Amino acid sequence: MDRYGGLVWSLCRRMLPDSAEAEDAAQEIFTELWQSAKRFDASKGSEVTFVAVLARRRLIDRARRRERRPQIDAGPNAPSLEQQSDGGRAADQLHASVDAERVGRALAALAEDQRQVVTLCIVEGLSHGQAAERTGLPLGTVKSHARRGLIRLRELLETPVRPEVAT
Amino acid sequence: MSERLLELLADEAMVGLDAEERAELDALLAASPETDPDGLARVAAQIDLAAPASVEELPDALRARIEADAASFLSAPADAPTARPPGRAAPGAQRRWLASAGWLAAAAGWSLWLLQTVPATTPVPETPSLAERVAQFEREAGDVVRVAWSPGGDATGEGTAGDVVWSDSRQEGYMRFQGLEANDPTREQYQLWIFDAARNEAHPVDGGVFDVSTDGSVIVPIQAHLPVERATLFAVTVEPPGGVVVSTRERIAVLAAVEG
Repeated sequence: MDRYGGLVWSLCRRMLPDSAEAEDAAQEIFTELWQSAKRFDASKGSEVTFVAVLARRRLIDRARRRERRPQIDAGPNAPSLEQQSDGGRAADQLHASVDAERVGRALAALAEDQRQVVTLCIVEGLSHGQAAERTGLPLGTVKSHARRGLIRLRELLETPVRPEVAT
Repeated sequence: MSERLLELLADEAMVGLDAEERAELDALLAASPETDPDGLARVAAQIDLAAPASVEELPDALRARIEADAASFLSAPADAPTARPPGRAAPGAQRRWLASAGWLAAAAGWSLWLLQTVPATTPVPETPSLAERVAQFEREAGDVVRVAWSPGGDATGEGTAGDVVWSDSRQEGYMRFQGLEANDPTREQYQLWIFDAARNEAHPVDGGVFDVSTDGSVIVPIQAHLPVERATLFAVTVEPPGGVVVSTRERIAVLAAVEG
């Protein structure tokens, strides 16, 4: 809990506007993590990714159950300046726990529209429809960008990193 | 892998699926056992994790609640039925995990993490037993349905008594059995299916896999993989180890139909 409590709680706060629901979700996610521990396969991804996959899936399910998409809430749940300051170090640690630079390079390899849609859907938690409204792109185009963008990202991230050779 | 399967996995990872799409995905995955169902979800998680964001510490009260949950989880009796976590484990998947060399190291790490979850110096609140939790659930949930088991035709369920209690609003429930035949988890496991009025009858919700290691009374918490809007029928089938995505329904141990 010390290692991933901040991650799980932050995802809950970001995706669920209601504090009580966010607390219930965090409790539920930890219970599921303990039950699911044996499913973790280090050959497929890191621990932190395993935790984030499970948490995101549970939060998206909850949001859909309530017929709304998870969205970043800048209202009452927004962290205070003090909390932001305290959380900065933890954020840095999490940020470092994935290869953020590599992920950034993969994102940069996408076309601009595709990158924007992928970021809106994953990081900001927008639905396809909301992303279409935000970008002004047709809904079908948004769906296509989101799907193809994510599939392309997997290809890019699964490609082994080759050491640079001086010429 | 079909284009449609990729689309559904991408949608699931990014925006979630509705019931029909979920059923379609489950069927496509069943027909494509070589597909890694979490591959795109891991990519989405990496994108999310790589985005700069502030991280808050768990509030103390919530931390205490989760620690209590951990204590309850860790103190479950060894012969208590073991419920598989909700997921889309394909037949044989559990054996593949066990066969994986990496799994052993991972399991050791996770066990350590699990133990670290409850600091030895932290007083752990006394937690209720499973039976007490069920009693509390029945008292507090306003919409509990309680249905007795009836035979499903398979010999494992013959003479089984007990009931299932479930709350749609809390998405929580428990199965109580007396006399359900003990199973050998290396050969077969019990799997619960929850039929939902809001879903196609062909695609009930996976309620989790569990074992019965004694012939005595056992209580099994229900682990619904998907939200259940209005439960209409609970069915326990006998399946290969790890459970299945789609049951052939050839071996039904017990059933409990909700009236009305």
